[in-house]
Amino acid sequence: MNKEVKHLISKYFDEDHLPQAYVGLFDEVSQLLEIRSTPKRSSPPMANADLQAICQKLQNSLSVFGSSQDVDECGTDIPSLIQVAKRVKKECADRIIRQQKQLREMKHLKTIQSLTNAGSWELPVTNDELCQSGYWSDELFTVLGISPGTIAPTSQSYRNYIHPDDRGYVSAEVSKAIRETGRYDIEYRIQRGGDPKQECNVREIGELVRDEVTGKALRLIGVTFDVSNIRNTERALVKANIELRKLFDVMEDVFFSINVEDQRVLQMSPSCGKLYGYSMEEFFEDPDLWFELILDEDKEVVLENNKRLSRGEGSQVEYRIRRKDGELRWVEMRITPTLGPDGLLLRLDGIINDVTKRREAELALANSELKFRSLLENSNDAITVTSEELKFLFVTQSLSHMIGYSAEEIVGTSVFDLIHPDDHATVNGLVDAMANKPDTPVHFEVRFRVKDGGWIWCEGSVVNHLNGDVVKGYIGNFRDVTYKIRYRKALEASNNRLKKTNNELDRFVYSVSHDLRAPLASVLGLLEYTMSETDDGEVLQDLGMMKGSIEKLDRFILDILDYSRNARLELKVHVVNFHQLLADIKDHLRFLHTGRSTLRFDVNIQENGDFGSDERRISILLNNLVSNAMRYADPEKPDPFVEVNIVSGPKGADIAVRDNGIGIPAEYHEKIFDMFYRISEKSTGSGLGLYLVKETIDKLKGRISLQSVPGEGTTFNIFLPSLV
Amino acid sequence: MDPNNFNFEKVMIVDDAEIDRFLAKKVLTKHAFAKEVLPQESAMNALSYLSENQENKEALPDLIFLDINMPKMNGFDFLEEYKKLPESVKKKCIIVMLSSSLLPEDRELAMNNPYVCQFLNKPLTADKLKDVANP
Repeated sequence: MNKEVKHLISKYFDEDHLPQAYVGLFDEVSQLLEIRSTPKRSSPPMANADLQAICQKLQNSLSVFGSSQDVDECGTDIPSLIQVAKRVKKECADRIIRQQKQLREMKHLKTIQSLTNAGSWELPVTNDELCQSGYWSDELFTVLGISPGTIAPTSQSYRNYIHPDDRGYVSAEVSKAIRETGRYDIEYRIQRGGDPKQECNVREIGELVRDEVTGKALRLIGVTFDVSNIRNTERALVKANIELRKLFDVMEDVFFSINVEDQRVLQMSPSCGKLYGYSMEEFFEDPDLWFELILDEDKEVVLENNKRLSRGEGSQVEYRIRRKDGELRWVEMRITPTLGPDGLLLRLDGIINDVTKRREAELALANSELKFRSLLENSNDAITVTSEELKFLFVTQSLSHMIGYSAEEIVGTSVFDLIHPDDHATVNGLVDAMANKPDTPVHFEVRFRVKDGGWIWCEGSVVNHLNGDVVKGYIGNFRDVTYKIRYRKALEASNNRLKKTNNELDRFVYSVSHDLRAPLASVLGLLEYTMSETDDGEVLQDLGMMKGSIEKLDRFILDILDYSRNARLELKVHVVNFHQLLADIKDHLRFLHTGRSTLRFDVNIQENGDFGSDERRISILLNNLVSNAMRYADPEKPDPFVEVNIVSGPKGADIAVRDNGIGIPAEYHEKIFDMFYRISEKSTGSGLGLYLVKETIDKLKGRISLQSVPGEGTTFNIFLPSLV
Repeated sequence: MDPNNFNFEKVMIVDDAEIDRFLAKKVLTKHAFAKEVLPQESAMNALSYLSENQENKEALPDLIFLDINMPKMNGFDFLEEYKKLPESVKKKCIIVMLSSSLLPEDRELAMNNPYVCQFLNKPLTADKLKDVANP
């Protein structure tokens, strides 16, 4: 086949499905073209009859395309035939192109219809009535919910799918268009597939085509499309709009939109009344109102913020406003700007909300922080926080006052830089102690370096708060106790001196008493021996007086010794065994008062449980009282006696020392316990005995009283508390 | 009083004060307390005597009056050394502390010593001797 023809076919036809009618034609055209291109000599001459037949065929072909008239005049020679064939070829190509274009448009139309759910139709109009069947596009069937071609495309069949309530309306509109308007655009409901449950909305636009000459209605062309989705969306949109509006009205936050170009408030939510005290209308009337309400000192911040807006950056700013009623409110404003294509600010949309409560809370917090800080700073105690590595993280101003370094100089330095080298061991000990007991304050005393030189003593405590929530570290709290420590050190030194003096005094008293007593004892022994060796009355009398005098001196030494021991020795508290105690006293006094064997000495002891006290001191006071009673016994009485009655128990001991001796006149009762006080020149004592008794009872936290009548006798009542 | 019936054969008196040794000798003899009195003017001398005569039972005292307050070696020091002497010596001797000390501590310390059987305050009198002879 000729190449050009082949090309033509491949370009415009599906080669495998070439219509049979065209196959023959293309063959013949091809042959003709071949003949022309073949050199004349080699080609066999063609019979005139054949040429005639070909010419006829070409003319038939052209007449198929409706352009055969001008071919009649041409000849039957080869060039003429070729000319005709070329025209056939051209006509053929044109027609194919047109067909292709039509096909494409059809496809396009179908796609559009399918995508938009729009079906098109065309119905003939006869006598202004739609009676005959016409054309429905496939999509129209789909809109009606039926398969294409399953029903006749007539107005009557279509009517069955219209919602019964809308049928009258649709008929009226269509008739009106045919008779008068020539056009309609209506919306109604259809029931897809004739099913009342599958209701949907359609919009239909119809256009009447009239005869150009007679003006008679020829046909009605239209498009019907499903608008259910659009309607549903619209309805949802309206609903959402209503809800938004409600929200807009109810929200406490104020929404606003401002047209920047003409300085117009576009929108303002009603909540402005609540926040500002001014109505929406007032804001609409005065576009600058919102700015005027800002407190003068806060306007700067807002203006500064406006610069951001003009750059198209969103902003958030807090400032104070004055409400209509004069009240101040803190508000937060967030604005989103919209810039025009030229970069100029077009519109502002924003929200303003009341943050007064939050600001007040923040202020209260700041105030309480300030309060604590000032408490800390004004406290005389220094408060420090140190890290685990013992670096200062925080120190109060009070530390600066103490040591002269500023807080800035101190923070960051090591604790060891400021603490006396001799106290570094103390610091390490503190760290160990705190590791064992977190959250328990550990007491310390260390020396801190002073900026001007020298050291101060600080005393306080430190707590391990390394695992704390807010403050992590060792928290120290201490004060300058330099004076206190110096005072204490001085006190300690003087105390030590006193102790030493006391010890020396003790030893002194001991050796004095011994050294004084030893010769006295020797003299006494010799006197007694000498008295036993002689019968000379005068000598015996002299020796007796000497003996009495020396005995008095001996007792005096004994009293002084007891006194000094009572004053200085610590209490030695044990359970007191009164039976043993009284036995010892009896034994001791036997040697003292050998001459008065007629004196009766009775002891009644009632021990009701353990009584604790200092036995030696009780012994001293009983010795004194009993020996006094013996010494001042009344020799005139037939039955001189001394009686000791003791009732003791866990609460205390009641001791009564009673005698029927010479007695003490009432006027002396108050004085007998005084030091060195003696009632009469007859008394042989040192004047220390009862003083010592009183002192001893004070030491034992007890009390003493006496009843005494001269000539009748004396009773001392003593109460001693149990000291266990 | 029967001059031949003594409470003790030999009584040693250890005291640095001559007057006390003198008095003790007089009193002990007068009251037939001791047949023989061995005065020692120091604790050291007393110890040497005891030590020298530890094998000679006849020479050892039956009773020792021991003073506390003496120069160089006091009564308690003597007791410490006495402890080291052989049992034969300690078995025979009875020790009585005889002191002018009024300190209860001294009395306690003395009485807590296993070799001391009594504590007497000076001066030594007939009554006190009776106590020692018939405790």
